[in-house]
Amino acid sequence: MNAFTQDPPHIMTATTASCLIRYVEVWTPSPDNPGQVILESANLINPENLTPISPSVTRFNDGEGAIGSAMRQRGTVIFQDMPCADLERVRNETGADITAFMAFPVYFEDKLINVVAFGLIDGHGAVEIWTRDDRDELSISGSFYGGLEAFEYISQHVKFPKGAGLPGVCWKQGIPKMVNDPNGNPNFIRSFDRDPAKLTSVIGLPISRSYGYPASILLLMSSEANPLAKYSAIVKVEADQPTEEVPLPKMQATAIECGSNGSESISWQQAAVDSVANCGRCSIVTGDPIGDGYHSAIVVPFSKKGRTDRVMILAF
Amino acid sequence: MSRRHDRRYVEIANLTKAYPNPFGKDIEVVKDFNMIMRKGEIVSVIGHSGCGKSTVLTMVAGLNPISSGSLAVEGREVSGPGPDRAVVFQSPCLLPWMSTFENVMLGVKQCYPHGTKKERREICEYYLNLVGLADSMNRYPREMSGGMQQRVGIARAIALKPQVLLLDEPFGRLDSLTRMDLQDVILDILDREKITTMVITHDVDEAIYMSDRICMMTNGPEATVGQILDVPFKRPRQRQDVLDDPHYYDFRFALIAFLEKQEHAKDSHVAAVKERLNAPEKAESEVVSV
Repeated sequence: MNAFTQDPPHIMTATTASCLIRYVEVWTPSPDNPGQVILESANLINPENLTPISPSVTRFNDGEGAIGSAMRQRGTVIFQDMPCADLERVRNETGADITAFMAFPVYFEDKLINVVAFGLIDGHGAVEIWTRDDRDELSISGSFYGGLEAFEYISQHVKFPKGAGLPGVCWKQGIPKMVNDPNGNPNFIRSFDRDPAKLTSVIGLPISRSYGYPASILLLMSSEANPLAKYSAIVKVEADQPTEEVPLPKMQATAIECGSNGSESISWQQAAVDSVANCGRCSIVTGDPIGDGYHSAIVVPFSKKGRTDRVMILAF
Repeated sequence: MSRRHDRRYVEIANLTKAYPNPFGKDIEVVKDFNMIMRKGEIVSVIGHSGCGKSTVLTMVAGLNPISSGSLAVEGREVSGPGPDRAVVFQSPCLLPWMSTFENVMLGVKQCYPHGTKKERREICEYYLNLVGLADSMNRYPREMSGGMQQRVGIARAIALKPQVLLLDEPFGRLDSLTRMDLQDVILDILDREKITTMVITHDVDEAIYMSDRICMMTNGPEATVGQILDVPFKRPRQRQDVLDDPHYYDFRFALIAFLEKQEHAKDSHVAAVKERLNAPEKAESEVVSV
C-alpha cells in the first residue's frame, strides 16, 4: 500500500504552455568501453506526441562534446552560444529552434548510469549550475536564463553555504528537492519580482558520484509561460521489507514529495517510478497517451546510501 | 592573495550557540553558521532584530563561548577575547573620567607594552587624527556629541591594530548625516589599513555601500546564513558613484526582498522549530530555508 494506490485516480488538465524542454536524449555507458557512452534514446518533444530522432552521432568518448564533457566533469554542462557542435547537431537533426543544450550525468553510487541531455527553447525560465568554490560556498558556474534579467544579474553575485538556499540544502542532504510557487514561498530566498517571467516551480538536483560529495547542484526553474515540462515532481522511494518469498527488497514509490500540481496522484506514475527505482536507470515512458493528458515522461533516479532514494518525473 | 590563511582569514564552520530554556532544553539561537572571510574583506551581516547577528559577532570576538562548531582567525582557533580582534559597539562605552586621548591610550598601553611613551603617544594622535578628532584630544566624553564619542570608540579600536575589526551596529544611535560621515571615515581607514571587518547592521544601504559581501541571516531560533551576496563595486568607493550604479537597486531590492520574506516566514518558522523540539524523533523533517 502506498501513496499512489491510496488516492483515487485523478485526471488533471495538463498545462498547454509550451515546455522549456523541447528535446531529450538519454545516453548509457557502452558495455564494451567504459570510457564511452552510446545513445539509448533521442526524442523531440511536441505538444501532442514524442518523435524519436535518429542522430548522426550515437557514441561519445569521455570528454568529447557536451555529453563527454558531462562525463568527464561529473557535473552539468550547458551551451547556449554558437559555435557548439552538439547544439548545431541537435538543431539540424530536429529542425527545432533549440537555443541551449545541457547534459548531466546520473550516478548510482560512483557508477555512471546515464547521461541525460535536454535541448531548451528560447523561453521564460532558467537553468543554473551551482558548484563549490574555494570558500566552500556554492556559486553559479553555468546558466541559462529567459525573461529573468534582474534575477540573472543578482544570482551571479549570490553564494550559498552548505545548508543555505535550495542549492545548499540539496548539497547538505544529498537529495533532489522541489519548491512550488517560489516567490510566494518564504523559504525560496532569492526574489524575482522585478522580472516579467513568473517562476512557478524550482527543482534542485545534486549531481554526484557518491553521497555527500555532489560535484554540482543543478537547478531547473519553470515559469508560468514555459514550464520545464507539463508536469514535474520529485517522488520519494522506499524499500519494501524483505520477506521469505522475496528476500531482496523491492523499491517502491511511497509519496510524491512535491509535484507541480501539489502532491496529487497520477495513475501512470506508480509503475513508471517503481520500474526506474528498481533498475536504477533513467527511462523515457511513452504511450498513446500514457495517461492523464500526458504523452510521455522522462523518469530519472537519484541514489543515496546505496539505493534509489528519489525519482524526478518530467511529463510532457 | 596566495597564502591559504589570507584566503580563509576568518573561518566560521557550523557555528552554533545554544542557551537552556526554563525547562532545561537547549535552544539553538544560532545553528550551523558557515562563513569564510578573506583578509582585508568587509562583510556586513544583516537580518531581523533578535535573529542572532550580535551573538555571532560576540562569538567571533571571543566574548561569548561557542556551543559547537569552530571559529578560527588566521588558522588559530578563537578561545577567548584578544587584542587581535577589536570591537566597536553601538554605544561607545568611553570612560567618562578620562579625556579622549586617555581613552585611546588605555588600550594602546595594553597592546604596546614595550613601546616608548613617545611611540604610544604618536599612535594615539595618528588614529585620533584619522577620525577627525585632532582638535578634541583633551575633551571629555560629556563635552562631545554622540557622533564624536563614536569616533573615539573607532579610534580606540583601530589603534590596537587589530587583525579583525568587529562593528556591532556602530552607527545605530546616530542621525543620518553623522552616520554617513562616519561610514566614510571608517571606509577611509579600512582602505588604508586593510583590516578584515565584520559589520552588524540593519541598514541595507549601509551594507551595500560599506561591504564587499553581505551575509543575510534567517530568523531565529536556529538562525543561520540564508545567502551571501557579493557586492562588486570597486574600492575606494564614492557614495555618489555607488548610488548612480544602475545595479545598485538590484542589490537593494534583493536585500529588502530577503528581509520581507523572512518577516513573513517568522511565525511559521518559530512554530516549526517548536514542533520539532517537542517531537525530537521527527528530527529528519529539518527546518531549512530552501
